[in-house]
Amino acid sequence: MYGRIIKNIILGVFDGVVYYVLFFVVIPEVFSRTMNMPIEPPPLLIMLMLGIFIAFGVISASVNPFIGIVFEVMSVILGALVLLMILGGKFATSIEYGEISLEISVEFKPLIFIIVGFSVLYAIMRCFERLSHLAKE
Amino acid sequence: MFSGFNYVLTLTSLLILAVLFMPLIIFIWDFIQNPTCLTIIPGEDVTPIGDNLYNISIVVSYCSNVELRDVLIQVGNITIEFPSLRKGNVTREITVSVSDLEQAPTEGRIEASIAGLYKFSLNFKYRVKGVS
Repeated sequence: MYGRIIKNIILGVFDGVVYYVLFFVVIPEVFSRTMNMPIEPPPLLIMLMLGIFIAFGVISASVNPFIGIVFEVMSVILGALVLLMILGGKFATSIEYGEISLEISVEFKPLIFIIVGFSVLYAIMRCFERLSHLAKE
Repeated sequence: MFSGFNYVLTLTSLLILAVLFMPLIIFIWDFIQNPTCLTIIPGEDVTPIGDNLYNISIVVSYCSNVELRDVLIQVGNITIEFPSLRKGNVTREITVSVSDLEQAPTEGRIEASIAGLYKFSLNFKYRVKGVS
């Protein structure tokens, strides 16, 4: 029994870390490098999100699979919301160049919406996948 | 069944993201390579057309392969609009009044949509010495 609990916790932590790395590290890093802009979320938010993702992952792996699905979907929705919050769909900066001041802004909302859309689609797929596994069992 | 669909979904999403990302990357890369990628050059032809009004030809030069849509260029009181702007030079005739030309414009803005997907705006202000 303890073995199963430990296995579920390890699986949950792994799931949580994967979601965290995907939504909080990989996608913002790609945007940061492409747009040549620094994206630095506050350290408190980083710790909070990592904790929430891991908690959702552990709960999803430990509880009844039907309830677990809900937490898995919540992880994806949270990830999508975090992306929207960090990136905001708009990049703006101002540059002083001698006596000329420049204000530049670029909106990349379509890209964010596509990422969020595919995340939700992926979450729905995972739900059907788990439900079909449960039906087989 | 689901694993196959998962691969298809992942591949499709990566492909669509790459296609959507490409114009933005090319546009930024072109501007990093050539900061004067978009330039507005006043032509030498000035034709008087009436009381204090002149026709001036303006050449807009753009170097990127990514099409710009809904382009709006505003310098002082002068506004030029293009439904789309492709690589190359475009000449446009504008009508200006003497009062527009008397005072050198100190601010302006350029608005456009990169490949019709990403809105981009650039506001510039020239600070005249001694004026805050």
